[in-house]
Amino acid sequence: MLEVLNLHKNYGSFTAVTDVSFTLEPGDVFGFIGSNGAGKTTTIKMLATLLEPTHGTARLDGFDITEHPLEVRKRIGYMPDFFGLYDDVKVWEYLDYFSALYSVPVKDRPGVIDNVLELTDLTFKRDAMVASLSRGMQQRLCLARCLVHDPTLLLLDEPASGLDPRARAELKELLAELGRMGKIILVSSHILPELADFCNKVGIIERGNMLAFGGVDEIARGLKSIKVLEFRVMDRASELSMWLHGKPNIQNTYLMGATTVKVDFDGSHENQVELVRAIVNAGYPVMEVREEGVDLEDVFLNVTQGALN
Amino acid sequence: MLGAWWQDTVKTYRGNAIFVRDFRSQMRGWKPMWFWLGYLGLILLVVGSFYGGIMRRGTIDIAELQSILVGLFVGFSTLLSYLVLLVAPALTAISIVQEFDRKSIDLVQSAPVSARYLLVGRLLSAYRYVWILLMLALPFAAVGILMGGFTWPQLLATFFGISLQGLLVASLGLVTGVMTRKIVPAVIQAYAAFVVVGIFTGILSAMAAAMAFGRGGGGAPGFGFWGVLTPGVTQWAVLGTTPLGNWQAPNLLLATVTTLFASRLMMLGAASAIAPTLTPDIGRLRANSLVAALLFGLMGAFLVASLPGGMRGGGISPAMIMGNTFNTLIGFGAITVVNYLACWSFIGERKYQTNGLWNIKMLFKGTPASVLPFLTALMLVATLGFVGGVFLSSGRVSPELLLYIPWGWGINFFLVGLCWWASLLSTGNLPGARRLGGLFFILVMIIFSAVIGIITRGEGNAAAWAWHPVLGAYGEQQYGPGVLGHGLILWALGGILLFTAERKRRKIIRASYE
Repeated sequence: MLEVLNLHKNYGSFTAVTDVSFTLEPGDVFGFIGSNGAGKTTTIKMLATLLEPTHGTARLDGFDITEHPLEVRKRIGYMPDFFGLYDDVKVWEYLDYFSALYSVPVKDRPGVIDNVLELTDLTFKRDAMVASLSRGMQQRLCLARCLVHDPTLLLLDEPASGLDPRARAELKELLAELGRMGKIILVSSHILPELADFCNKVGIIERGNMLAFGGVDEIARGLKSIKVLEFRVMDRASELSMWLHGKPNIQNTYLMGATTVKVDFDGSHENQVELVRAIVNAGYPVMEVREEGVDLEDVFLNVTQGALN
Repeated sequence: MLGAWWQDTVKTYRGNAIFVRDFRSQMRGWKPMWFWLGYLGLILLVVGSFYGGIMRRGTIDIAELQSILVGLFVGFSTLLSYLVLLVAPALTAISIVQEFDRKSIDLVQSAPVSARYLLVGRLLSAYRYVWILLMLALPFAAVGILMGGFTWPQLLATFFGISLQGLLVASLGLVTGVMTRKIVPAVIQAYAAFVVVGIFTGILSAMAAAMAFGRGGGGAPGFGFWGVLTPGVTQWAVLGTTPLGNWQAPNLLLATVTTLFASRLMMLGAASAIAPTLTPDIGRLRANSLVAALLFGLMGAFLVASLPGGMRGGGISPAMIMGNTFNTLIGFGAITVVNYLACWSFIGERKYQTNGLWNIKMLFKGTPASVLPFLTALMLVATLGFVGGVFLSSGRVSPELLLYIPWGWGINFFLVGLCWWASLLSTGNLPGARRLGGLFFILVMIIFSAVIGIITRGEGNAAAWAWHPVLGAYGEQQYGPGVLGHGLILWALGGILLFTAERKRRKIIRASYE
């Protein structure tokens, strides 16, 4: 478990991160969202024990990042927003080097290297020089490096930047798989759609302040009380639209064609059940009721707009 | 705790991953092969022309042949010394700069290894390379042994001495590697540092030889153990001894201990500069530095105390020799250390912004407020080591010697003041601030020399020398303000610099809030 407790970083008079706190459980895939310079990298570097917090701390499996940095390092896999690859070695040598740094026993190293290469789909490049790999492959090699010591927490800073769409898709799939394996994954990005698909938690940071933390839907619900409900009927959509107008908790109605009506609804779940029951009792041929999904981009813009104002 | 230290030490020195990785890349491809072929070609050219010259003479007297072969041995080992001194610092400096350049340093430092692990790996890699070069040259040198010019112990001891020089300059390369982020300046600085070390060891060896001559020593000149670390003299000094109290200590042993100490200190300095977090890496490194400073002071005192009687005549008192040795160790030895500790970039790297002048709680942390407490502690233990060593070796400490102590401390204090200003005026990155600190020192030395020269014109060199605020303690004391006076002047100058720099810093910080 990762507990971040009032993590704070000052650079002289400039505050880069202000009392950030959150908790992540095994299996959590946490999207750390913020614009450039918001404090994501500073937070990640503090968690990776590469920067000393001004105050506050974080604990990984009970080990404090300031008190026991070496114990914490044994449990993290850190992937910065640059590759930092040695180009004068072969792929297996690169992984062997980091296995040794992480004290993986010599006899276990060949097996570990084969496993991580398989997981990152790089087995066929085992004996290739690192310099000869494509950008996407280098990215996967970096991820493989993070995995050689089977870490509890993966800290991935902008992992998809500069990757083509295919490589991005592969990376997302890989991270989702690692999440299913029970690892805690903290992935930062300012490209929101790439996080929305596979993160079960997000945190929004702006000017060093954590503005929101939780599930995407949870944050969205906390942000606005109005949700959009979509009703699809076999026919009589315009009649339904008029019928809904003025009913309790309905703010606006929108006729979306011959069979679809959308409404802005500000009631509770119970009110929602009541409304659906009332529509059916009124004899409208309802085929489908759907709550419109929350767009992470909207959530981010909403949350950060307040901070900037 | 002891167990953890032992485990860490074993992990650092045995099977060091960086050492293994470097070996793989050093041996890969055609580049090393071409380099070694060129190296062997050069050796072949030198040795071949020598042996060829002998062969062309047809008949030659055995005594003359042996004399020629001794000449070959001297020339050959000097050539090897310079080759090693050329290669070793470049290897370490380049490897460290590249680590920063490709940004792999963060990846290594996020692994559960200390800064020491990284630097030891680099140092051992360079040392192994030095031995590769020496081993490749061994067969050519061995021909001379077969012809009876010199012996195996002479040759092997000389090679070991050369390898010590390699280790020393390789550790210098580590320090210059962390000082700059560009390969060429790092290598140039490493060579410059090597020249300074060469001059230092050269002067000491010449002094030792002159002293041995003064006391009527015949035969081979007694270069003392510093000779082992001086290119061109190594082969004469390796099998000699240096008096240490009543014991004739083997030069090779003393040179090994000195090299290990010096390289360790330099490694500690470099590690302090690159350790990512303040604790526990820096704390451990600083604690180690204190122990090393104590031992250095102790060893310096024992060595000076054992100088032969010839040096103590001619109006130079033992206290003066000891005092100036202390000044050299504590004062000028600090020039590089202070630059590391007291320079930080004010704007370029926020991490190094000052957090005050003095904070004793930060003694074992790498913040600017810990500079003065840590330097004070460092000087204190070195002083204790030196004075304690003098007392243990000669049974007394003269009050005259104690007068030299404020000078050694004063030069440190003055340097901190200069570096504080360099940091304020440097808007670039940390290496830039450090370069500016070094430049300030050189400028101050030039300005002091020029001003003192003008003021004391007509009074002769001795007076000018004795009035120099930084170098005056080495001069004849009847002219200047005396060694204590020099110490007080340096303290005053350092205080003014620190006070004004700190005031300016606070003004800048206040302005940034408004």
